[in-house]
Amino acid sequence: MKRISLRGIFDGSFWVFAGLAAATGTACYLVAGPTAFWESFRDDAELFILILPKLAAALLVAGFIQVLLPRGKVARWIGERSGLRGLAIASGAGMVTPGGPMTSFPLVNALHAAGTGRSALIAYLTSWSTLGLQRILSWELPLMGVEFALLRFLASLPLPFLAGMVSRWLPEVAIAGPLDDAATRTAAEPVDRDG
Amino acid sequence: MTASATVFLWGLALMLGAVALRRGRDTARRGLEISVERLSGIIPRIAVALLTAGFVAKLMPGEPIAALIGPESGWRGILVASLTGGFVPAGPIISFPLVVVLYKAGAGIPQIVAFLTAWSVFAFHRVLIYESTLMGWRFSAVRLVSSVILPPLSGLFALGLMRIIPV
Repeated sequence: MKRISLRGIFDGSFWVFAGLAAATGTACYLVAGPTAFWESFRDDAELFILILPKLAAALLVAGFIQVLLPRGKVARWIGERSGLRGLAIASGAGMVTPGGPMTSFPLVNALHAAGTGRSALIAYLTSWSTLGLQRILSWELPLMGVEFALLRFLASLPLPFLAGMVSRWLPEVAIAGPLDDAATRTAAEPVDRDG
Repeated sequence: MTASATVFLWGLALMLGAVALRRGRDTARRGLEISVERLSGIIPRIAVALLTAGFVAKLMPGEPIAALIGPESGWRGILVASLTGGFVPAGPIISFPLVVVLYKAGAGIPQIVAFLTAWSVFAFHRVLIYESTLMGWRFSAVRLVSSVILPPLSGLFALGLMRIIPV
Protein backbone atom coordinates (compact mmCIF):
# COMPACT_ATOMS: atom_id res chain seq x y z
CA MET A 1 0.00 0.00 0.00
CA LYS A 2 1.11 3.49 -0.87
CA ARG A 3 2.44 5.44 2.07
CA ILE A 4 0.31 8.36 3.07
CA SER A 5 2.38 11.43 3.65
CA LEU A 6 1.52 13.47 6.69
CA ARG A 7 2.49 16.55 4.79
CA GLY A 8 -0.33 15.88 2.34
CA ILE A 9 -2.87 15.57 5.12
CA PHE A 10 -1.84 18.55 7.19
CA ASP A 11 -1.27 20.94 4.33
CA GLY A 12 -1.94 24.65 4.02
CA SER A 13 -5.71 24.45 3.80
CA PHE A 14 -5.88 22.27 6.91
CA TRP A 15 -3.92 24.82 8.94
CA VAL A 16 -6.11 27.63 7.70
CA PHE A 17 -9.13 25.77 9.02
CA ALA A 18 -7.39 24.77 12.21
CA GLY A 19 -6.58 28.45 12.73
CA LEU A 20 -10.20 29.30 12.06
CA ALA A 21 -11.31 26.74 14.64
CA ALA A 22 -8.85 28.16 17.18
CA ALA A 23 -10.00 31.73 16.50
CA THR A 24 -13.71 30.97 16.71
CA GLY A 25 -13.04 28.78 19.76
CA THR A 26 -11.27 31.63 21.51
CA ALA A 27 -14.03 34.04 20.58
CA CYS A 28 -16.62 31.57 21.84
CA TYR A 29 -14.74 31.16 25.13
CA LEU A 30 -14.45 34.92 25.63
CA VAL A 31 -17.86 36.03 24.37
CA ALA A 32 -20.21 33.15 25.16
CA GLY A 33 -18.30 31.91 28.21
CA PRO A 34 -16.39 28.76 29.21
CA THR A 35 -19.59 26.76 29.73
CA ALA A 36 -20.75 27.38 26.16
CA PHE A 37 -17.25 26.61 24.87
CA TRP A 38 -17.00 23.24 26.59
CA GLU A 39 -20.58 22.34 25.76
CA SER A 40 -19.88 22.98 22.08
CA PHE A 41 -16.57 21.12 22.26
CA ARG A 42 -18.16 18.08 23.92
CA ASP A 43 -21.08 17.97 21.45
CA ASP A 44 -18.71 18.13 18.49
CA ALA A 45 -16.38 15.48 19.90
CA GLU A 46 -19.35 13.17 20.46
CA LEU A 47 -20.66 13.78 16.96
CA PHE A 48 -17.20 13.20 15.53
CA ILE A 49 -16.84 9.82 17.21
CA LEU A 50 -20.35 8.91 16.13
CA ILE A 51 -19.71 9.66 12.47
CA LEU A 52 -16.26 8.05 12.18
CA PRO A 53 -17.44 4.49 11.48
CA LYS A 54 -20.04 5.79 9.02
CA LEU A 55 -17.51 7.99 7.29
CA ALA A 56 -15.03 5.12 6.96
CA ALA A 57 -17.65 2.89 5.35
CA ALA A 58 -18.91 5.71 3.12
CA LEU A 59 -15.44 6.43 1.80
CA LEU A 60 -14.85 2.74 1.15
CA VAL A 61 -18.05 2.72 -0.91
CA ALA A 62 -16.87 5.79 -2.83
CA GLY A 63 -13.40 4.31 -3.37
CA PHE A 64 -14.69 1.01 -4.73
CA ILE A 65 -17.20 2.78 -6.99
CA GLN A 66 -14.34 4.82 -8.35
CA VAL A 67 -12.27 1.80 -9.37
CA LEU A 68 -15.27 -0.19 -10.59
CA LEU A 69 -16.53 2.61 -12.81
CA PRO A 70 -13.66 3.98 -14.86
CA ARG A 71 -14.26 7.40 -16.37
CA GLY A 72 -13.86 6.17 -19.92
CA LYS A 73 -16.84 3.87 -19.45
CA VAL A 74 -18.94 6.66 -17.99
CA ALA A 75 -18.10 8.86 -20.96
CA ARG A 76 -19.16 6.14 -23.40
CA TRP A 77 -22.54 5.70 -21.67
CA ILE A 78 -23.43 9.34 -21.90
CA GLY A 79 -22.17 9.77 -25.42
CA GLU A 80 -24.21 6.91 -26.88
CA ARG A 81 -27.73 7.78 -25.75
CA SER A 82 -29.94 10.68 -26.65
CA GLY A 83 -33.41 11.96 -25.70
CA LEU A 84 -34.98 11.28 -22.32
CA ARG A 85 -32.93 8.14 -21.88
CA GLY A 86 -29.85 10.19 -22.56
CA LEU A 87 -30.84 12.56 -19.75
CA ALA A 88 -31.39 9.61 -17.41
CA ILE A 89 -28.02 8.09 -18.28
CA ALA A 90 -26.31 11.46 -17.91
CA SER A 91 -27.92 11.94 -14.48
CA GLY A 92 -26.84 8.49 -13.33
CA ALA A 93 -23.32 9.09 -14.57
CA GLY A 94 -23.16 12.44 -12.78
CA MET A 95 -24.11 10.77 -9.51
CA VAL A 96 -21.26 8.29 -9.60
CA THR A 97 -18.55 10.53 -11.04
CA PRO A 98 -16.03 10.84 -8.23
CA GLY A 99 -13.80 13.79 -7.60
CA GLY A 100 -14.09 17.53 -7.77
CA PRO A 101 -14.47 19.93 -10.69
CA MET A 102 -11.06 19.01 -12.03
CA THR A 103 -12.54 15.61 -12.90
CA SER A 104 -16.02 16.47 -14.08
CA PHE A 105 -15.35 19.50 -16.27
CA PRO A 106 -12.65 17.89 -18.38
CA LEU A 107 -15.04 14.95 -18.83
CA VAL A 108 -17.82 17.29 -19.96
CA ASN A 109 -15.39 18.97 -22.31
CA ALA A 110 -14.40 15.65 -23.82
CA LEU A 111 -18.04 14.60 -24.18
CA HIS A 112 -18.83 17.87 -25.91
CA ALA A 113 -15.92 17.38 -28.26
CA ALA A 114 -17.25 13.89 -29.02
CA GLY A 115 -20.61 15.34 -30.03
CA THR A 116 -22.77 14.84 -26.92
CA GLY A 117 -25.79 17.14 -26.87
CA ARG A 118 -26.02 20.24 -24.72
CA SER A 119 -28.97 19.05 -22.63
CA ALA A 120 -27.20 15.81 -21.66
CA LEU A 121 -24.10 17.77 -20.63
CA ILE A 122 -26.21 20.09 -18.49
CA ALA A 123 -28.09 17.19 -16.93
CA TYR A 124 -24.76 15.53 -16.19
CA LEU A 125 -23.29 18.61 -14.51
CA THR A 126 -26.45 19.27 -12.52
CA SER A 127 -26.50 15.70 -11.32
CA TRP A 128 -22.81 15.69 -10.47
CA SER A 129 -23.15 18.85 -8.42
CA THR A 130 -26.47 18.18 -6.66
CA LEU A 131 -26.57 14.36 -6.43
CA GLY A 132 -22.86 13.44 -6.53
CA LEU A 133 -22.50 10.44 -4.24
CA GLN A 134 -18.96 11.16 -3.23
CA ARG A 135 -19.80 14.57 -1.84
CA ILE A 136 -22.90 13.21 -0.11
CA LEU A 137 -20.93 10.35 1.42
CA SER A 138 -17.94 12.31 2.59
CA TRP A 139 -19.56 15.58 3.71
CA GLU A 140 -23.32 15.63 3.86
CA LEU A 141 -23.94 12.28 5.52
CA PRO A 142 -21.45 12.76 8.37
CA LEU A 143 -22.28 16.41 9.02
CA MET A 144 -26.03 16.53 8.43
CA GLY A 145 -27.15 12.96 9.09
CA VAL A 146 -28.83 10.25 7.07
CA GLU A 147 -32.36 11.64 7.21
CA PHE A 148 -31.38 15.04 5.88
CA ALA A 149 -29.13 13.58 3.18
CA LEU A 150 -31.89 11.24 2.04
CA LEU A 151 -34.52 13.98 1.98
CA ARG A 152 -32.30 16.34 0.02
CA PHE A 153 -31.37 13.54 -2.39
CA LEU A 154 -35.03 12.76 -3.10
CA ALA A 155 -35.90 16.45 -3.45
CA SER A 156 -33.02 16.89 -5.91
CA LEU A 157 -33.65 13.79 -8.04
CA PRO A 158 -35.77 15.63 -10.64
CA LEU A 159 -33.33 18.55 -10.98
CA PRO A 160 -30.99 17.16 -13.68
CA PHE A 161 -33.98 16.28 -15.87
CA LEU A 162 -35.52 19.71 -15.36
CA ALA A 163 -32.32 21.55 -16.21
CA GLY A 164 -31.82 19.34 -19.26
CA MET A 165 -35.40 19.91 -20.45
CA VAL A 166 -35.26 23.67 -19.91
CA SER A 167 -32.00 23.89 -21.82
CA ARG A 168 -33.75 22.37 -24.84
CA TRP A 169 -36.14 25.33 -24.99
CA LEU A 170 -33.30 27.83 -25.00
CA PRO A 171 -32.03 29.07 -28.35
CA GLU A 172 -29.19 27.10 -29.86
CA VAL A 173 -25.95 28.99 -29.58
CA ALA A 174 -22.63 27.74 -30.77
CA ILE A 175 -20.79 26.68 -27.64
CA ALA A 176 -17.35 26.95 -29.07
CA GLY A 177 -16.20 29.48 -26.50
CA PRO A 178 -12.50 29.96 -26.00
CA LEU A 179 -11.78 26.39 -27.05
CA ASP A 180 -9.55 25.51 -29.91
CA ASP A 181 -8.60 22.03 -30.97
CA ALA A 182 -5.47 21.93 -28.90
CA ALA A 183 -7.37 22.78 -25.72
CA THR A 184 -9.95 20.13 -26.52
CA ARG A 185 -7.29 17.52 -27.00
CA THR A 186 -5.47 18.15 -23.76
CA ALA A 187 -8.69 18.34 -21.80
CA ALA A 188 -9.95 15.13 -23.38
CA GLU A 189 -6.82 13.23 -22.54
CA PRO A 190 -7.51 12.12 -18.96
CA VAL A 191 -10.70 10.36 -20.05
CA ASP A 192 -8.78 7.86 -22.09
CA ARG A 193 -6.74 6.77 -19.14
CA ASP A 194 -9.72 5.03 -17.57
CA GLY A 195 -9.24 6.27 -14.10
CA MET B 1 -31.62 4.97 12.45
CA THR B 2 -27.98 5.85 13.06
CA ALA B 3 -27.05 2.25 13.84
CA SER B 4 -28.93 0.93 10.83
CA ALA B 5 -27.23 3.49 8.58
CA THR B 6 -23.83 2.30 9.78
CA VAL B 7 -24.78 -1.32 9.15
CA PHE B 8 -26.14 -0.45 5.71
CA LEU B 9 -23.01 1.47 4.71
CA TRP B 10 -20.66 -1.26 5.90
CA GLY B 11 -22.77 -3.88 4.12
CA LEU B 12 -22.57 -1.87 0.91
CA ALA B 13 -18.82 -1.32 1.35
CA LEU B 14 -18.22 -5.06 1.85
CA MET B 15 -20.40 -5.92 -1.13
CA LEU B 16 -18.58 -3.49 -3.44
CA GLY B 17 -15.27 -4.69 -2.02
CA ALA B 18 -16.21 -8.25 -2.94
CA VAL B 19 -17.16 -7.15 -6.47
CA ALA B 20 -13.85 -5.33 -6.79
CA LEU B 21 -11.98 -8.39 -5.51
CA ARG B 22 -13.65 -10.56 -8.14
CA ARG B 23 -12.50 -8.08 -10.75
CA GLY B 24 -8.95 -8.66 -9.53
CA ARG B 25 -6.67 -8.11 -6.56
CA ASP B 26 -5.29 -4.91 -8.03
CA THR B 27 -8.71 -3.34 -8.46
CA ALA B 28 -9.64 -4.05 -4.86
CA ARG B 29 -6.33 -2.75 -3.59
CA ARG B 30 -6.62 0.43 -5.63
CA GLY B 31 -10.11 1.03 -4.24
CA LEU B 32 -8.84 0.47 -0.72
CA GLU B 33 -5.92 2.83 -1.27
CA ILE B 34 -8.15 5.58 -2.62
CA SER B 35 -10.48 5.21 0.37
CA VAL B 36 -7.75 5.21 3.00
CA GLU B 37 -6.03 8.16 1.40
CA ARG B 38 -9.23 10.17 1.25
CA LEU B 39 -10.21 9.16 4.77
CA SER B 40 -6.89 10.24 6.23
CA GLY B 41 -7.22 13.55 4.43
CA ILE B 42 -10.80 14.15 5.44
CA ILE B 43 -10.75 13.15 9.13
CA PRO B 44 -8.67 16.09 10.38
CA ARG B 45 -10.63 18.45 8.12
CA ILE B 46 -13.99 17.28 9.38
CA ALA B 47 -12.73 17.55 12.95
CA VAL B 48 -11.77 21.23 12.59
CA ALA B 49 -14.82 21.97 10.43
CA LEU B 50 -17.13 20.56 13.11
CA LEU B 51 -15.39 22.54 15.85
CA THR B 52 -15.59 25.77 13.86
CA ALA B 53 -19.24 25.21 12.99
CA GLY B 54 -20.06 24.53 16.63
CA PHE B 55 -18.25 27.63 17.92
CA VAL B 56 -19.71 29.93 15.26
CA ALA B 57 -23.18 28.57 16.02
CA LYS B 58 -22.70 29.52 19.68
CA LEU B 59 -21.61 33.02 18.67
CA MET B 60 -24.30 33.68 16.11
CA PRO B 61 -27.60 35.13 17.16
CA GLY B 62 -30.26 32.61 16.23
CA GLU B 63 -33.26 34.91 15.82
CA PRO B 64 -32.37 36.74 12.59
CA ILE B 65 -31.49 33.49 10.86
CA ALA B 66 -34.60 31.75 12.09
CA ALA B 67 -36.69 34.70 10.94
CA LEU B 68 -35.09 34.81 7.49
CA ILE B 69 -34.76 31.12 6.65
CA GLY B 70 -36.33 29.30 9.58
CA PRO B 71 -38.88 26.49 9.21
CA GLU B 72 -41.68 29.06 9.48
CA SER B 73 -40.27 31.26 6.71
CA GLY B 74 -41.93 29.13 4.03
CA TRP B 75 -41.40 29.94 0.36
CA ARG B 76 -39.98 33.37 1.20
CA GLY B 77 -37.22 31.71 3.18
CA ILE B 78 -36.68 29.26 0.33
CA LEU B 79 -36.23 32.21 -2.03
CA VAL B 80 -33.78 33.96 0.31
CA ALA B 81 -31.78 30.74 0.67
CA SER B 82 -31.82 30.20 -3.11
CA LEU B 83 -30.42 33.68 -3.67
CA THR B 84 -27.67 33.48 -1.07
CA GLY B 85 -26.47 29.91 -1.66
CA GLY B 86 -24.90 30.72 -5.00
CA PHE B 87 -22.58 33.25 -3.42
CA VAL B 88 -20.59 30.79 -1.34
CA PRO B 89 -17.36 30.76 -3.31
CA ALA B 90 -15.87 27.59 -1.87
CA GLY B 91 -15.88 23.83 -1.93
CA PRO B 92 -17.65 21.46 0.44
CA ILE B 93 -15.11 22.06 3.21
CA ILE B 94 -16.65 25.51 3.77
CA SER B 95 -20.19 25.11 2.57
CA PHE B 96 -21.14 22.06 4.65
CA PRO B 97 -19.87 23.40 7.98
CA LEU B 98 -21.65 26.65 7.06
CA VAL B 99 -24.84 24.68 6.55
CA VAL B 100 -24.36 23.01 9.94
CA VAL B 101 -24.04 26.48 11.50
CA LEU B 102 -27.21 27.67 9.78
CA TYR B 103 -29.05 24.53 10.86
CA LYS B 104 -27.94 24.88 14.48
CA ALA B 105 -28.94 28.55 14.39
CA GLY B 106 -32.47 27.62 13.41
CA ALA B 107 -32.65 27.41 9.61
CA GLY B 108 -35.40 25.18 8.21
CA ILE B 109 -34.70 22.00 6.26
CA PRO B 110 -36.35 23.00 2.93
CA GLN B 111 -34.49 26.31 3.12
CA ILE B 112 -31.18 24.48 3.65
CA VAL B 113 -31.96 22.20 0.72
CA ALA B 114 -32.53 25.27 -1.50
CA PHE B 115 -29.32 26.84 -0.17
CA LEU B 116 -27.27 23.74 -0.97
CA THR B 117 -28.78 23.40 -4.45
CA ALA B 118 -27.97 27.04 -5.19
CA TRP B 119 -24.41 26.54 -4.01
CA SER B 120 -24.13 23.33 -6.07
CA VAL B 121 -25.39 24.66 -9.38
CA PHE B 122 -24.33 28.32 -9.26
CA ALA B 123 -21.03 28.28 -7.31
CA PHE B 124 -19.42 31.03 -9.32
CA HIS B 125 -15.84 30.14 -8.45
CA ARG B 126 -16.40 26.84 -10.27
CA VAL B 127 -17.96 28.58 -13.26
CA LEU B 128 -15.08 31.02 -13.37
CA ILE B 129 -12.21 28.58 -12.92
CA TYR B 130 -13.40 25.46 -14.68
CA GLU B 131 -16.56 25.81 -16.69
CA SER B 132 -15.95 29.05 -18.54
CA THR B 133 -12.37 28.14 -19.35
CA LEU B 134 -13.13 24.61 -20.54
CA MET B 135 -16.59 25.05 -22.05
CA GLY B 136 -16.86 28.73 -22.82
CA TRP B 137 -19.13 31.44 -21.43
CA ARG B 138 -21.99 30.62 -23.76
CA PHE B 139 -22.29 27.13 -22.38
CA SER B 140 -22.11 28.46 -18.81
CA ALA B 141 -24.83 30.99 -19.64
CA VAL B 142 -27.14 28.32 -21.08
CA ARG B 143 -26.54 26.05 -18.10
CA LEU B 144 -27.07 28.83 -15.56
CA VAL B 145 -30.31 29.99 -17.21
CA SER B 146 -31.51 26.36 -17.31
CA SER B 147 -30.74 26.07 -13.60
CA VAL B 148 -32.35 29.27 -12.29
CA ILE B 149 -35.49 27.51 -11.08
CA LEU B 150 -33.70 24.56 -9.51
CA PRO B 151 -32.88 25.91 -6.00
CA PRO B 152 -36.40 27.13 -5.16
CA LEU B 153 -37.89 24.01 -6.74
CA SER B 154 -35.70 21.69 -4.66
CA GLY B 155 -36.76 23.61 -1.55
CA LEU B 156 -40.42 23.22 -2.47
CA PHE B 157 -39.92 19.52 -3.25
CA ALA B 158 -38.29 19.10 0.17
CA LEU B 159 -41.20 20.94 1.78
CA GLY B 160 -43.63 18.60 0.04
CA LEU B 161 -41.64 15.50 0.94
CA MET B 162 -41.57 16.52 4.59
CA ARG B 163 -45.37 16.54 4.60
CA ILE B 164 -45.33 12.92 3.39
CA ILE B 165 -42.36 11.57 5.35
CA PRO B 166 -41.67 13.44 8.59
CA VAL B 167 -37.96 14.11 9.19
